[in-house]
Formats: sequence, C-alpha cells, structure tokens
Amino acid sequence: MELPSALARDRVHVFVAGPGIGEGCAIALPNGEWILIDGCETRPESGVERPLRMLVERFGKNHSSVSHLILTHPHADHVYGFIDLIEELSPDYIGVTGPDPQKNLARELGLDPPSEATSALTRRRRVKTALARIQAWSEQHPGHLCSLCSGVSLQLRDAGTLEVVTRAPDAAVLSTWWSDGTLPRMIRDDTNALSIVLELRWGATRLLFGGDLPSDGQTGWRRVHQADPRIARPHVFKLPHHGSRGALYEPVLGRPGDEAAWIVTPFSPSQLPRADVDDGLDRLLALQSPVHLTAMSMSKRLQAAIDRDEVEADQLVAIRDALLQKGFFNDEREHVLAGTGVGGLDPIWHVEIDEAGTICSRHHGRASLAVYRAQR
Amino acid sequence: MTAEPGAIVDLSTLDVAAAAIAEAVEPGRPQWVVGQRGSGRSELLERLALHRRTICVRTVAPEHADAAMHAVVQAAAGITDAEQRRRAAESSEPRAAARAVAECLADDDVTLAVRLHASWSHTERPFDAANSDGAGDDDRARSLRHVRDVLQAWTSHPRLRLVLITDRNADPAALGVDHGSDHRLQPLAVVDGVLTEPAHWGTLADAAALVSTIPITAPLDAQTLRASVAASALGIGKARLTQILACNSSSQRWWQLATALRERIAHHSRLGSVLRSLLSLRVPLPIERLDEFVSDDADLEHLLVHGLGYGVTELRIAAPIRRELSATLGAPSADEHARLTDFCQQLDGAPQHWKTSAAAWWLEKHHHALLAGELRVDVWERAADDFPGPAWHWLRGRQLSRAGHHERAASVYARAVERFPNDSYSWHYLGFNLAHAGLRRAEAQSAYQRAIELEPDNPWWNSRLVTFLVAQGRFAEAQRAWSEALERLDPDGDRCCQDPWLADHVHRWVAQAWHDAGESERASAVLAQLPADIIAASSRLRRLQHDIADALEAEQLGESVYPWDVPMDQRWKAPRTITEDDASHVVQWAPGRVVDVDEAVRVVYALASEPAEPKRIALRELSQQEWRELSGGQPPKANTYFELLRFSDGSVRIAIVPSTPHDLDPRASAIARAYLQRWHSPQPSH
Repeated sequence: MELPSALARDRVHVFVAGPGIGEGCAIALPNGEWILIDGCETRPESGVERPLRMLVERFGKNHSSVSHLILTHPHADHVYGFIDLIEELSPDYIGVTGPDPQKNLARELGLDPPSEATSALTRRRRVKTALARIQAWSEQHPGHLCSLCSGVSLQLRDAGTLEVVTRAPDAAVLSTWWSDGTLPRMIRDDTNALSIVLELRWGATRLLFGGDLPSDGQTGWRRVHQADPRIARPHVFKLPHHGSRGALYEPVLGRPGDEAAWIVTPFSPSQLPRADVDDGLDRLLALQSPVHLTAMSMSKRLQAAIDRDEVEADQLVAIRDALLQKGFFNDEREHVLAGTGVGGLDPIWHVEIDEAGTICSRHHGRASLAVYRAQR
Repeated sequence: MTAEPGAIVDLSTLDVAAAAIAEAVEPGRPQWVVGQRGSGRSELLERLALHRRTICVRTVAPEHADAAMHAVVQAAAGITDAEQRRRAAESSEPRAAARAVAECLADDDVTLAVRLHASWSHTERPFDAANSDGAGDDDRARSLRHVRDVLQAWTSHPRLRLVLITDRNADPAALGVDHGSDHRLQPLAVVDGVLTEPAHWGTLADAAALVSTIPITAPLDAQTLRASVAASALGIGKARLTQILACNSSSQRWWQLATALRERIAHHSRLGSVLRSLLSLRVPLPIERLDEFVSDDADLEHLLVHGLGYGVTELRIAAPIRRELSATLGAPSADEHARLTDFCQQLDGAPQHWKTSAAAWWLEKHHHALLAGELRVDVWERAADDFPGPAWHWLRGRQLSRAGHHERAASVYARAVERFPNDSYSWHYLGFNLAHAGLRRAEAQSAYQRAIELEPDNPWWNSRLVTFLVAQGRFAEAQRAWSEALERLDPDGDRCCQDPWLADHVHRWVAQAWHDAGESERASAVLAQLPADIIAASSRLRRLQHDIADALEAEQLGESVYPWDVPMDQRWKAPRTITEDDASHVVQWAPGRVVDVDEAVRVVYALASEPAEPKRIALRELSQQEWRELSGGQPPKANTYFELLRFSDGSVRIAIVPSTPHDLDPRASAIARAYLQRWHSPQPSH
C-alpha cells in the first residue's frame, strides 16, 4: 500500500495530504500537468517538509510541470507552505477566490487583526503574507492569476476531454459580496464560505475537491448541488472541512453505489473528523466505507506510531486513548495535541483512476489509514 | 560706554573683533570664532561683511532636511557670475555642491562667514541621531551627515577664506577642522543705568524701572535683562523675579525665566499667535517688517523688540526662550504657514530668487509653502524645477508620504530622480512610496536597487530592499537580497559584532519584517547572526527578540498559553498567580488560555510536568458552571490567560492571570507581583 514508485501516464492520480493541521491536494493529469490545491507542511525532526513539493519531485520524471496552484480560501492551515510552492514549483497559473478576472482575494489584504493571542496573530500574518505573495506574483505574471468562482474552468494544456471546473463559490453571490461591502466581514468571520470547490471531469470520471465549504449559507453545498445535481456521488471526493458534520450535505454525498474513494484530512485542534454516533465520520461511513483518513486526529508523533492500514470506526477512540499520553484531567473530554514527527509523505492518500471511473489503485503513507464502518 | 540705538550693550568691541578676524583670515586656514550667548555672534557676522567681500551664511538645525543645501545656496549667492552660481549649487550631493561653491568663492576672493547652528558643530555622530523610536530618524541622521559633509567641504578647501562662528561647546578638533586661530568673543557688557533709560524700552519703561530695583549680585547679560523686563511687563511680580535673578546658575536662571514667560504668554492669545509665527521663521525678521505681524500694536511691538527679542536691525529671540515657547505654543497651522509664505515672498527677491542676497528668504518661502501643504502647493510646484538640489523634493515627498499620499509622493521623487539621477535618497523613496501605494512594484524594486547601486554601503537602502521583498512574500528573492546586503555592508561579519547601530538598523529591520510576515523562524535566524551582547545593548533588539521567541513558542505549541508580554525567562518555571503558601501545595499545574466562549468554555493549556519533557497542548471544553466553580466565580472571557492548578488534596483550581496591574488581587504574593514585572519594563509592540 506504500506510495507507488512511478505514475501511469494514462490515468489521473489524486494525492491528498493532511497531517493534522493543514491539507493539500496534488492532481497529476495524463498529459503530465500537475494541479496543486492549497499548501501543506509537516514538521518531522529533520525540519519542515512540504508534501506536495515532495510528490512533484518524486514523480517528476513523467509529471514535471505544475500548471495550477490554487488557494481554496485564506485560512492559515491551507496557506502553510503555499509561498514556498510558488517559489519552488513555478506554477503557470495561480487561482484564488474571485467573482471576475479583475477581482480576487489577493487584492483584499485588509486582514489586520485586533489584539489577540500570538498564535492567532502569527497565523493571520502568514495568511496576509501569502496573499501579498500571490499579488506580487500576479504582477510578475500578468494574466496568469485566475479569479475562480462557479462556472470558471481551468485552462489546461492538451488535456483532451478532461476539464476542471470551479463549482463554488457562487459567482453571483461573490459579486454581491464584493460590491456591497460584505467581503471583509466574510474574510474575517466566515472564510470557509469563500472556499473554492473544483470538479474534475474526464469521460465518466468525476472527482470533487471540496475545500472547506460548509453545507449551508449562500455559497454552500446546497447551492452547489442546486446549480448542478450531477456533482453528487463523485468517484473521488476530498471531503470538505475535515469531514465535519456542518460541511456534509447528504444530497452531494449521494446514496451508496459504485466504488468510490472518499478522503478526509484531520484537523486536530477541533478533533475532526469525529467518529461519535451521528457525527461527521459516522455519517460518512453510512454512505461509503471505507473512508480514507490521511492521519488520525491526534499528535503527529503519535500518528507516526500507528502501524496499521485499516481500522474500524469504533476502534479509533480506543487507539487514540491507548496512544495518548496522560494530560491534566485524564478523562475522555481532554484532547492532547502536542507533538511532531510525521514525514512529508506519511499523511497521504493516493488514488489512481481511469477515464471510465474505475479506481485502479490506492496507496497511502505511514500515518494514513482506511476507516471502515463498525460491524455493530 | 554707550550703546547704539536699539542696543543696550556696547557693540564697539565687535568692530574691533571683526577687523581683526577679517585681517587674519587666510585661504585654507579657517578662522574659528567662539562665543557664548550674549557675545554678539550674529552682530559680528554683519560686521564682517563691512571689512572684506564677504558672504554671510546663517545655518539652520539639521532637523530641517534642507539644512545642508540651505547653507550652500546662501553661500552660492556670493558668486559673482550668475551661470557659475547656478552650476555650483546644482548637485544632488551637498558635499559636491559645497565644494563647487567654495571653489567659485575662492576664485572670486570672497570670504565665507558662517554662523553655525549649535548642532552643526557638536560632535554627535550622525547615525546616533537615529537611535530613538519612530519614523524620520533616518532623515535626521542623514541631514546631520549632510551638514557635516558641507562643513567638511568648506573647512578642507585649500583656497577658501572661511570664518566659522559658533558656540563655546563646539570642538573643531573633534570635527576634524584644521583651523588657523581661535577668536574668543567676550560677553558684551550692558551699558550702565540702561534699565532706567526709558528711551531703550518704549512702553516697557515701567517694567524696566522695576527690574532696576531688584538687587543683583552678579552682572547680567543683555538677553537676561531683556527677558526679565519682558517678564515684568507680562505681570511676573518683583518677588518672583528677584528669586529668579538670584540664581547662581545661568542655565537655571534661564530655565526659570523661560518658564515664567511661558506661563504668562499662555494668557495672551494675540502675543502667543504672533510669537508662534515669529518662532517658526528660521531667518531673523527685519525689525522694520515687524509691523506686518503686530499691526500698529505698540505694546506688542515693544514687548517683542525690547523684551522677548533682541537685535539692532533684526529681531532675534534667545535660544532658551525660543525652545521653551516653541514647545508651549506648538507648531503653526497650515494657514499660518500660508501667511508666512506670502510674507517671505515679499522679501525673497523673486524672480531672481536664490541668485540674490535674499536667498535665505527665498528658501524660507518654500519652507513655509511646504508646511502650508495644499494651501501653497502652487508655490512649491512653480519652483520645483528651479531648486538647486533635491532636498526640497525630499521635503515635499516626505510630507506627502507621511500624510499617506504615497502615489503623489512617488511622483515627487520621480521628478527628483529625473533632475538628479544620482540622488540615492530620491531613488530609495521613489521605491518606498510606490511600494506603499501598492503600485508598479517592479518599478519600486528597480528604484530600490538603483539607490543601492548609487550608495552600496547605505544600511537603510540595503535593508529596505529586503523588507520590501519579505512583505510581498518573495522569500527566495528576499533571502538572496539579504545575503547580498550583508556582503556589501559587513562582508567579514565582524562589523555587526562591533557596531550596535548597524545591528539595530539592518538586522532588526529585516528580522522585524520576517516576524511581521509570520515567519518567526526566519526572523530568528536573522537575529541569530548577532552576538548576544549586541542584542542586550539595544532595547529594541531585545524587544524584537522577545516577540520572536514568543511567536516561535506559540508556533511550536500550536497555541499561546502565556500572555505575549510575559518575559520568556519567567515562563514554565512555576505557577505565578497564587500565594507562596498555596504554591507549596501545588502538585500539577499548566498555563492556559480561553479560546472562545459560547454555551461552553473552550480552553487550551500546556502540559509540561517535567522540564525536559516536550510540552504538549491539550484542549478541553468546560461548561460555564464548571468554569465558574474552578475559577472562583470569574466570568469566562475569550483570550483570558490562566493557570490550571491541582493541589495535594486533589482539588483543582483555575487562577486567572491578571491582564493589567489593576486586576491583581491585593493579597497576591511577592511571586505574583514579580510575575507582573512585565509591566514595569518597556515592552514590544504587538
């Protein structure tokens, strides 16, 4: 199940990385292009590692050119490493949320925060700097910054029948937010609603990359589904917002059916995804089992210690408890986070799919595992 | 002993001194004339002009960015040939302009007599001027460096006849001036019985008579006497004046007099308004023009001419009074500067402007036009292509930049570099303002780079290019620019180990930029290039080092559990918010923070039971009820810091970290008070 040594050129390869804070997707197309979505960093003992860069380098023999680097929304956990990806991989295009070619988030730098904890302040500073970097990059590459909103397709090179279309946020809603002054409030209080959702269509194949888009709200999944119900039940789905219940819109998840690869990244500070009854992971597993988890929602050091490929949902809590060090209260309501140690290619799922929608292979790194519905 | 009309001192000694100095001055051997307040230095300057072909220059403080060129332009007015005059002063570099002017004056055998402003001739290091916080420090330091350049160009010229008139604290050796001989001016003696001579005092005669009744043990200089009369005229009683004049210390006496005057002037709005305008003039006002300020108010006129001011043909105000009243009366408004612009225009010799002896008034007109802002921008615009150096573009550009009009400021600097393509300052600020306006960043970068090409060892130019790149997230280019900057500024890496100033103005700027970009590790790497003692010597470097360490800790943990301003060396040692008695019963503790509050209270805290153990962050939700029970009834609030404590009897308590000293429990222990020491030392901005 370890990551492959080379990528077959006639397939689409999806990699989703998520070590516990931050996530990134890398899509290798049959024509050799890479589309990268968001930044992602891990911090093993050896220093900072960037999974997406490592993937592009590792498989660079056949897939060497990054055509698009996309920031789904300006949250720190999606921004980590983004600047370095720009500088190290020289993408042809960068995509950010925006209602039309002249407007995009990179021009909305008014993110100066009120007084707050240093940890939050530093995160905001990194977001602000990343947006400034995108803006500077766009000045050096006129016409190559894409404002993405519903209906906008990525310009691919000789991709044949393959297309990548933006499904969210809704273009009309974004235009209104830009013109009526709502945007700064959205950036401050409801950034996930600005999340870009991308759909890759290739023959019968449907892939969906859900960012952190919530179910409801003017741009949420409900609206996305209303605009085009065919997005439901994709073959490969990077689930939105770490599989939180508030991001799961069941009409998009669809009914159990053909084989699919649903991938969830954890967000440790919020203990996502949650496996409790009727919570996000539980609901997902009712519709699709297994769900691919890039890492357990726990300390990265502890993630690295997990030595198994699959697990049933009700074992997740037991595994976590067994691995966790003792805290202050030592009860089930305490969630210990600290620790480092996952290497860049450990918290990754890889899915290989053909034009017919057949999943040809799946691989994962050391910290990732498949979560199955419990045999209750 | 008699006095000239308008004078209360015997000026005849100055005639003798002027004759002697004029006789002694030789090419390439500057005459260094030193005198204290009241020794008639300004009158001497006027008298020197009577003895030889002499051009007199009065310098202004380096706080004025045009200080260097101000002097050069006045000196250039002494050049006979108009074209030569123009060419000589037309240089972006004050040193080159000063040298060219000196060359022409020497050719014409004209003596240059310069009354140096005190801060021109003191031995402050130019870059020391930039040691305080706040914007514009670099401008003052640069201005100081420019005035030194001018001084050096003149004093080192082998053929120039030069007289430098300065105060008694000036040190020609420290400034590297190889001078011919010293002339020491003695304080001018006050004419006997002058206080009781009504002809000298006009409407202040009664006040003067009162002062004459005060018993004085030591003779007073003329300026003190005049200020005392003014104080009396403004209502300061005899008893207080007696007390002031009884002071043995001259500086103490002046300070008390100035304070008394300041108190009284606060009650005279008309006088205050007139004084505010007069004090903002950098050129002494011809007494014959005073009427335009006082409008037939004889009392006011006499108070200014005979009391607060002095001078025979020009109204001067003694430095201590000037200083004290300027601080009290504040800066003139834009309207007042506009009126002063119009006034100066009458005296500036236009359209011949700086080509005439009225050069100082022409300069003054543009100085006030700039300060009048938009009200007289047309005056500046009309002359912009005529200025004999870029300093006036700097002033206008800076004014616009500070008002946030970066695009307009960039236009001014663009105009400057068109005329003065070798002016690194204008190139630099062209880049700076384009960057701040978010405009044409490629052009901004080229401008920054051009400034560095012209002045490769300028610390500010080098570090600003790096911070410009960091702010845009152009990290790889910023790292390259930083390496190149160090190569230019400190190739052997030893200068920053010896020069705290360089560290403070190069490493600190760059580290701050990385920190502001959220890149704490890169910020830390920049400071790591400095020795510990260099950081320890600078309060600003210490603060930044703390900020960065705080951010690094927050990044490593993923959350902040200590208020940002708690010194790093006070963290992780022991609970600090409880009494010593209580602390002895604590078996486990953890610093933490409330993340947010709704129905539940979400908290984070750090677990570090053993010092060697890695710190781990834990999350937990508490009900509002649990929070209140554990915290002793405190209402939960986001971003409240606390210490989670478990005692030997098994009980758990949340002790709130006070966010201000007022929140401190009066029963708090010495330990808790020590914890609050963070408020007693300068702390970083956040």
